Amino acid sequence: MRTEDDLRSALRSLERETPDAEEVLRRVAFRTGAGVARPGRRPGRRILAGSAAAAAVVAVAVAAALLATPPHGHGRVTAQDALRIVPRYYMALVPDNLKSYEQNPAVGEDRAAIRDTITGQTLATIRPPKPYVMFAGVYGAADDRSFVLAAQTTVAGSQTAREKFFYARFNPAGHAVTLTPLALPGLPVSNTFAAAALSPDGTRLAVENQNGPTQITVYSLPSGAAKTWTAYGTQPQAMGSDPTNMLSWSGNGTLAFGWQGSLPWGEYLLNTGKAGSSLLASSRDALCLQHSAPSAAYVGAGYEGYLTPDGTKIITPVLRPIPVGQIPPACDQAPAPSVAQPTPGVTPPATVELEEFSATTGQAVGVIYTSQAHGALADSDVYWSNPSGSVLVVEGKTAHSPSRQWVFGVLTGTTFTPIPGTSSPPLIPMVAF
Amino acid sequence: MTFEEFAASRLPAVLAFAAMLTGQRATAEDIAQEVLTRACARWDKIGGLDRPEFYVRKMVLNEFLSWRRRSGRLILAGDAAAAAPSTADIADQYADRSALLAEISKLPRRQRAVLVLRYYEDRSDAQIAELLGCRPATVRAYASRALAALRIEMGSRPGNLAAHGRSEV
Repeated sequence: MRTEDDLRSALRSLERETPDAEEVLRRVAFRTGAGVARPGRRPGRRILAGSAAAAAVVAVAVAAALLATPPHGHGRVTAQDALRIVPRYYMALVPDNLKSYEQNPAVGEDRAAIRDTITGQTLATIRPPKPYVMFAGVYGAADDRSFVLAAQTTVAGSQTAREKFFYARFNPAGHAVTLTPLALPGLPVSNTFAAAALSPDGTRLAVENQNGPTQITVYSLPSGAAKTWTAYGTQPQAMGSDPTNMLSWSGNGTLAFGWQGSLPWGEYLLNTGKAGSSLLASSRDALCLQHSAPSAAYVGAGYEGYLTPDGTKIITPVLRPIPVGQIPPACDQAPAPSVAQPTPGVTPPATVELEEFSATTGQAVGVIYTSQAHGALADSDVYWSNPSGSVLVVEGKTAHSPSRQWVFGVLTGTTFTPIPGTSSPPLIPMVAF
Repeated sequence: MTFEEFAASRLPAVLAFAAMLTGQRATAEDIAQEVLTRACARWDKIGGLDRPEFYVRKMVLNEFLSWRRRSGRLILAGDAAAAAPSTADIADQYADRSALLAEISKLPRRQRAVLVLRYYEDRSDAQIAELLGCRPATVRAYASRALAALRIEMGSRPGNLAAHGRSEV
């Protein structure tokens, strides 16, 4: 029958729409982490044990799928492919009044929007529940639909602001976001928290507090348990210029943070599974990219290193790349002569590049892009990475845009694919993938 | 069957099934993710069933039937209005297929599911009835209505379904 043949032929043409098994399994693996689906509650041992077992099962399946399929991020990818590799949904904080915000960003962001990475379409919008009036930060898990939002009672910068964290869970079936207050003890108030990061499995929230000596506290969302590391004997220190990206997690529980305090500057790795309460003594100085002359050639405007989810690499902007294979000199040592040095007193050229370093040895393992390679001209922070760091979401300015707008995009090899809906204007101050 | 065995051997077919139902990779991914997350948590029971894949397909089907409709159309499958007839054979075929997919996307979900199960998966009415939780006669009724609707909608196109007469339902 012609009808049946036509139907079969038409339906078979839809096979091209079949999702990638590896990617689906990877997202399921992240979602089966213990307690992810029940923020704010205290699930019993049975639930946790079941979820952990499920996560382990899926992890094995993911590994099997990885063996059977070629890895992403190698070779040429189309724009559509690039957008499909990264998380499907992202959350952006957006102001109600863009004009007011552009004139004074301190008025804060009034609402959080879930957007589709492929189309840029806004799928859901939420506002902070009273008495909170604005969102001050957003942090994403790896499953593309679990986020933590920091809400404030008043505008940013106010010393009387009260803050509270909320767990936001997006349901793509209903285009709805469920906002659950996180009843965690000891969360910073009065505008003292400087940075936060949600672990890839969505079960742990790391918060940096600068109310006195710098502290990092890791909260378990399912149990409410907290563990704090303190930089004893130090003053509050700015760890970087962008609070969104100052902390980053690997999947095995290592937390990366930048340090610009009295001790050697650098990118430190904190093993959150080990005992100890001293922030710096419990951490390893994995990478030294000193700001001050004569080593200023190496580093961008801030310590915004990003630890890849597999924990093997640190990706960071640099003003001038370290030659691949070399290890930057330790911060308390003179720079090695083999590393290119700027002439003392001369400002290095502002061609920021993105480079990756071994998290184990500090050795430079690759220049990810030069500013000319894909048209971006920004000191590109990393907002998301696939496990190995071969696919990144970064922020840049597109060379082809007449107004040279800022835009978030997917970086695969030397290809930069802008993400719809993230260009400026409309201004997107903070995003989480 | 362990989850790893299921993922290695049967998952691609289940994902293709989700793609057939939805017509869109993105929605198929969402549905698959929801279903597999739930299935994985209960795999000790599902894996012990005689037909784990059948059970997961049923979960996919139920998720599809209850999924909030984002759009009344299969965005990526084609558009009847946009698929203008062409004089070239290949272009004609493409336009016909695109138009047909667009019309399938307008069908009620149960009817669309029946078409996918019958004409893509070649399942019997009894099997389809088991998956949908209805009687085989109901399956036949869904198929009949779906095909009738397609014939009407495609009727004005040259070389269309209607021009080749009714098919057996």
